[in-house]
Amino acid sequence: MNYAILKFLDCSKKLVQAYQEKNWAEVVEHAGHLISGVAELWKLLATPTFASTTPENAEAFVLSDAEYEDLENVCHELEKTKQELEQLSGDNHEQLVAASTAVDPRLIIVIIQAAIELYKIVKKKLDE
Amino acid sequence: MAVVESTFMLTNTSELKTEEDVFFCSVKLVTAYQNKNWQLAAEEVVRLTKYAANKLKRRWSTKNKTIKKHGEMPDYYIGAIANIDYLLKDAKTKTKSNILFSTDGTSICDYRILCHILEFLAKALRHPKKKKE
Repeated sequence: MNYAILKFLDCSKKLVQAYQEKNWAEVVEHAGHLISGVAELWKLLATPTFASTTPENAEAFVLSDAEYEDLENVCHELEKTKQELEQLSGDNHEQLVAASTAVDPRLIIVIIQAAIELYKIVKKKLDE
Repeated sequence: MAVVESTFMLTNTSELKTEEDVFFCSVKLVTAYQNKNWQLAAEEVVRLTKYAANKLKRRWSTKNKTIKKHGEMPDYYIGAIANIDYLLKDAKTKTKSNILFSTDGTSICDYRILCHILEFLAKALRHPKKKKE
C-alpha cells in the first residue's frame, strides 16, 4: 500500500483511540498529524504521476482485503467520533475548557470531516 | 503485504515560522490557485496546514498555562485569512466539477478536499475567536 495512505490510516486510528481514552493531549497531537496527512495526500493526488495510471501507481493502490476492510472500519470510526464530538461542541465545550483542556471540538470536527472526505476519494479510486 | 514505497515521494518544504511567513505563503497559494498550478498550490497548502496544526497544538497544550484565550489578531493573520476566505469562496463554487486539470494539463485539483483543508485553515488561524460583547 502507498506509504502516505498507510500513515494516514495510522494517524486516524490513533486519533480515535486517544479520543476514546479522553486523552486530549494525544487527540491534539494526532489531529495535527491527521490534517497534515490530509494535505500531503491531497498534494499526492495532484501530482502528474499519480494522476496517470502507470503500473507503479496501480501497485501503490493495491490493498489486501484486510487492508481494505481496515480502511472502511477506520472511516466508520471517524464518522462515529465526529458525531460524538458534535455533541460536545455546544455548551459542553465551555465545560471542556474549564475542566482540563482548551481543545475546541469544532476544530477537531473539521479535521475529521476532511479525513472522511479523503477516505471516500481513496476508496472510490480503489473501487475503480 | 509489504508496504510499497511510492515513487513519488513528497518533497521537503521549508517550515513556516512567523506570521509574516504565513501571510506570504497565502499570497503564493492564491497566485498558484489563480494560475491553476496545482503542484505549487499543494506545496503551499501543506506548509500552511502544518503551521496551523502546530499553532493549535501549542495553544491547546496543557503545559501552556499562560494561554491568552481571546487575544488580538495579528495583522498578517488578517491578510492570510482574507486570502484563504477568498479561495474557499471560489473553491466552493467548483465542488460540483470535483477535479480540474491544471493549465498545462499535468496536475489535478480535487476541490472537495481543498475546501475542507481551507476551512480548517480559516478556522485554525482565527482561533480563538473573540467573544461577542
